[in-house]
Amino acid sequence: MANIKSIDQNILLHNCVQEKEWAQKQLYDTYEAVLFPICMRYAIDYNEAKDIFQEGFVRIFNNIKQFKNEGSLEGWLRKVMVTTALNYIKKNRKKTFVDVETVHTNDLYYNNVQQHTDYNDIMQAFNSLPYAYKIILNLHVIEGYGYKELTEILDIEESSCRTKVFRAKQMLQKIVTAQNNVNVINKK
Amino acid sequence: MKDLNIDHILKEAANAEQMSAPNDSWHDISAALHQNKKKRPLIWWWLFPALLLGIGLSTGYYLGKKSGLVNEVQGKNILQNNASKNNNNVTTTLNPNNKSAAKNIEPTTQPNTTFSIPNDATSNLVNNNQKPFLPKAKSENETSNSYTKKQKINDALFKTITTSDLSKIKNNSEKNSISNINKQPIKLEQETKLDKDNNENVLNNRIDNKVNNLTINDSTSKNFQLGLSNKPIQKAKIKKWKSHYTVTFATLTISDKGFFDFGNEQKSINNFTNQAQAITTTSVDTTAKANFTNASMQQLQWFAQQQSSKKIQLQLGTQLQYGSYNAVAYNAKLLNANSGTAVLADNLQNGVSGFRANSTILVPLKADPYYIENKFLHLGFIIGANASLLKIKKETKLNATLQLVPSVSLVQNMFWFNKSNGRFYKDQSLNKTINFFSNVHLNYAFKVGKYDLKIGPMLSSSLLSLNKKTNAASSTIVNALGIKAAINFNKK
Repeated sequence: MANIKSIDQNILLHNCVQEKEWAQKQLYDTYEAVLFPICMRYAIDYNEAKDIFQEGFVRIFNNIKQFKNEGSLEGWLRKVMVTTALNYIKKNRKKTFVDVETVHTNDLYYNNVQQHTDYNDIMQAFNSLPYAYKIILNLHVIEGYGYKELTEILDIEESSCRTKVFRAKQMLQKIVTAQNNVNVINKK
Repeated sequence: MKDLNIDHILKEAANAEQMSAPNDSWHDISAALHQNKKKRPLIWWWLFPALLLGIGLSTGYYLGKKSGLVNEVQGKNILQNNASKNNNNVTTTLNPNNKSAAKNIEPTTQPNTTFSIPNDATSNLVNNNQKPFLPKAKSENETSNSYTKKQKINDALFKTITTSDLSKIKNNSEKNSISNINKQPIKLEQETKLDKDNNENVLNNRIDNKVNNLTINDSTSKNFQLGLSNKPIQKAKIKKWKSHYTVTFATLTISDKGFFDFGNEQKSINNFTNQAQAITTTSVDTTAKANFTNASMQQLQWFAQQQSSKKIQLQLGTQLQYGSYNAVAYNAKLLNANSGTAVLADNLQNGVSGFRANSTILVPLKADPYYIENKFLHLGFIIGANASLLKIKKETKLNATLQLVPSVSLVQNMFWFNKSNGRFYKDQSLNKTINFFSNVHLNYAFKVGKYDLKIGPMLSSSLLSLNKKTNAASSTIVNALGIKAAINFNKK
């Protein structure tokens, strides 16, 4: 993970800019576990996540000289990976976000998610969401994009965007709550 | 609150999530980076075609100047200046482009007007190291008091030319030779200055003999033509165009899309590979067996390169092309004869020989995610030779020729420009093949010196690639429409 000391990081970055393979490998080893889940969240399946991951890292190494040490390296890497994923999605599945309306949202309800909910559970619930909901929650909740940015990225209207975010959260909560109930029953 | 809660938890969970990437990911990334690194920057190739272009243009200009095109203009100007300055009797110069001058030559309107080029004009031309307007007379002492030989010659050629004579000369201007001019009946109308005892025929004979004995070099003949014909001299000098060689030193190709941009999934290539393997393992034809090693996959990727949906081609050097590609590709060796399924097989495999006549449309592939990134500008050079097979030409005004030229280009190297890092990369895949483009050029051709400057649209229709090791041939239909500018070296 991002345990590289500042001075080491500078040396590492310098050598990455110089296209030294050992430096690139070290950077890869350091951040691959953080960045691959991002790809998984945006991808439909494992193979696609792998594609995005490879493409993202190639882009990282090709553009690493653009990193100015103004923010955290991990943040920059995540941003590049997210951008790569979005480009990938735009190129390959332009109609993804149109299909979101087909998701049934009838008997949705939500309860307060328990604080003690396990991260794995919530990520499991998140991964079980419809793909379009996953993407929109990824962008809005996890990556922190605002609604206006979402409208540009996803090419949908802001009101529609808000609705989709709301419904996605509803569905996520529903799934998490259901999981919690199952867990409680199992414990009993 | 509820929203905030789920947001918070989800964000924390996502940030805390860790998952190891696949083991072979680094291998693939490293391969992509290594491939990138292997193709060293070739920024110097920018200079190469520019240098060639500069050399070609300057050589063309120099040869054009050497061939006398520039001197003609100077001689013409000097002729006009001297004639108007020094000859008091001349009211109008013999500028062939001056129609009013031609009218003034009419003897009925100005019977006493004499038209002669003063001695000064000739001497000035010589002193200025210019091509003489007329051959210099031997000496003024040799002339008689009333009418020198030189004056006779001058008068015969210029002074007594009537409008009708001019029209006759114009009619005969296709040949534009001094002999034709001599054959024109020379009518002496300034009889007041001549001794009436001199028989007109005798004078004409003397003049004819004198003129015929003159050694007239090219520049002199040009000046005669300038003096007597409306036709530009270049017209007379243009030879019938023979077969020629166009050597293409460089081609610059621009595209606004990555050449692997086909929009399909990576898995399509995997499926394709699996499919090909399945077919070849059951195939009876052992020569068609495919072994999709990394090397062959790279070749496969190259074939995907050839099918870019959009390219703009720009050739620099002695041939300049600019246009857009819209390529549909097929490979002659891609069809499995048994199943009819496309297999990128034998022509990609070293050591496989034989040629299959069947062909099929190549399935668009996304060969490598790395190239999906829209970073290649497709700014590259193609180095090779271009030979014309046939030419249909039609002469037009302004000394230009309209040509329809089917041709074959031998493409030896391609270079691509990576717009993200500003570097050029050599297309390594072409090292394994000999590549021919067939083109049709519509040229609007000008002649400068002994070079032909051409500009016009071009259509590249197909690419034939021969594997150097296996001699296996494959072809790709490439529809490229562009604009070309070229300098041709004519075969003498």
